[in-house]
Amino acid sequence: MPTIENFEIFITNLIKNDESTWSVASEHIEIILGNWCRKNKLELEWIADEEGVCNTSKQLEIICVLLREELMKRSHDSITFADYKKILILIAEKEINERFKKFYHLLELKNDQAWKYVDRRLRIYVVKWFSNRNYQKPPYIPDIYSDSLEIMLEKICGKTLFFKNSRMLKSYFFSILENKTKESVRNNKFTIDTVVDVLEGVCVMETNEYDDTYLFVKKAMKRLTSNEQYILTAFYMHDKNLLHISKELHLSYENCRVVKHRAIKKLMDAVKIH
Amino acid sequence: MIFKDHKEIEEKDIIEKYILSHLSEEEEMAFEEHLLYCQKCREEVRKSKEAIISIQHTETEKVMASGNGIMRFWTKINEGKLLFKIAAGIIVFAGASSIIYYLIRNEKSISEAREKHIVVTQTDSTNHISGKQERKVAIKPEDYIKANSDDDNAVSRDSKVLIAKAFSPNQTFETAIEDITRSEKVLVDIPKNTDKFKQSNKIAFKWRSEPPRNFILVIFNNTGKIIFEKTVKSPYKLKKTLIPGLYYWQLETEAEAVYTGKFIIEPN
Repeated sequence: MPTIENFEIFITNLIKNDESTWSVASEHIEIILGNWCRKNKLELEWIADEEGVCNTSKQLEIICVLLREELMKRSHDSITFADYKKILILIAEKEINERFKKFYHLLELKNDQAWKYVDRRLRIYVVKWFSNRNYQKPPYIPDIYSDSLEIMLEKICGKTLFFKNSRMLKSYFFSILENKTKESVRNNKFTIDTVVDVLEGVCVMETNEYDDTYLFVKKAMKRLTSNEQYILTAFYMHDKNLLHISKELHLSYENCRVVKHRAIKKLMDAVKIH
Repeated sequence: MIFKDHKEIEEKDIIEKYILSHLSEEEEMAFEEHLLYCQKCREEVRKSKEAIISIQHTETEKVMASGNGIMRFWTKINEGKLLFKIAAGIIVFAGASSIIYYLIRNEKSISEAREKHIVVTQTDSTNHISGKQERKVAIKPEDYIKANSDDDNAVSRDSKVLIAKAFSPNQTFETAIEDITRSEKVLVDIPKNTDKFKQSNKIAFKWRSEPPRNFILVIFNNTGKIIFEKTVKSPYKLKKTLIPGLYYWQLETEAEAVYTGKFIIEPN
């Protein structure tokens, strides 16, 4: 992989369509867009074109082409990194929203693939959502989740709704989820529990929809000590801070930080080996 | 602000903070610019992201494993499609059955046509005998299809469209007529390639060969389907009445066709 020494030369090479510069740029753009989507609660994967649900690399290619066109238009201006990022985000936002409309149309048509993508992301957010609210009665979470998803399916297929982007769709889903949860609490199905026992339970859900990297990391997770597993899930999944976790585990803050650091390194090595 | 080296990034856990969106806007911009120049950090970000996503998936699975509501949801997604698949299956089955029936019905004519190679013997426009080169021209697959899709009786259905179709030239035979190779010396007197006959006329075939011998006279319609086939000697008068259309005829030996010609039958 070539290295970039100077931003001006980088931009010039992009305009010249230099292949090696573009390979660095597309890797960099992927990171920036991933971060931007996460911050703006947009889903980079919920996109489609005329042929159906499309992958992010295809989307990325299109964004790169549009970015080059825009940079060519401004080839006489001096472009800073902040300008570059701004242009990139403007193009990406427009493209992602445009392709989300096609994706939403697939949802209206009950397209399996599109609904699979939605299910895959929403279930993670739902577990986090319950975790942040300290609702910890796992047997009811899947039922509430699937009930909410069913309601959303009916509404979307009834074609009475329209969402401009994935953030609005998620927001709508969580309003349904919140109502369903309140209903369950009223019916005493739920209790509020502050202690999260996340390490118990067996994974039985189908795994073939995830890629191989996930399976490698999942195996590596099993090799971690119980403290390491607990710290990682509490920190990355349940958004607990290290101080809180260290108190729960009766460890010093520094010790807890080292354990977490070691555990994440182990998982990253699993990705590296893969 | 810009991150100069990895030491600062590692000490401040910048990568993790970036992934968890815990950096200030200024720090984020600086780190993203740093990412452009630093492959090691890009790699670290990618790996960390994958590891975190996997942790989230694993945890989600644990929580979602119980309960069967999600199965109900997927059944709903697929319920309409099942009926559609059954209907599509029935249509495909019906279509396939009718094609098979049609093929079986025409099997005989297909096999006859496949066995038949049009061996072209070269003639010039005046049917004058020359050279001794030889070339075999197999009937093209599309001609077989045409031969089977066009029933002779179809033309007699009094449809102008079908009649017009019966006069369109067959490129394989047209090439054979214009070709200039032959292996047997045959001089054809009638019919000429430009001859037109009324439907009620009896068509006479007359040729000379050295040495004189019997040939198999084969008449094809314009789709390549065999209408008549018989071993005859010159002159021969065709008793069969042909429906209006363009016809090709060949004189054949056991091994090859030695002459290809054409004529037209017009309505009375």
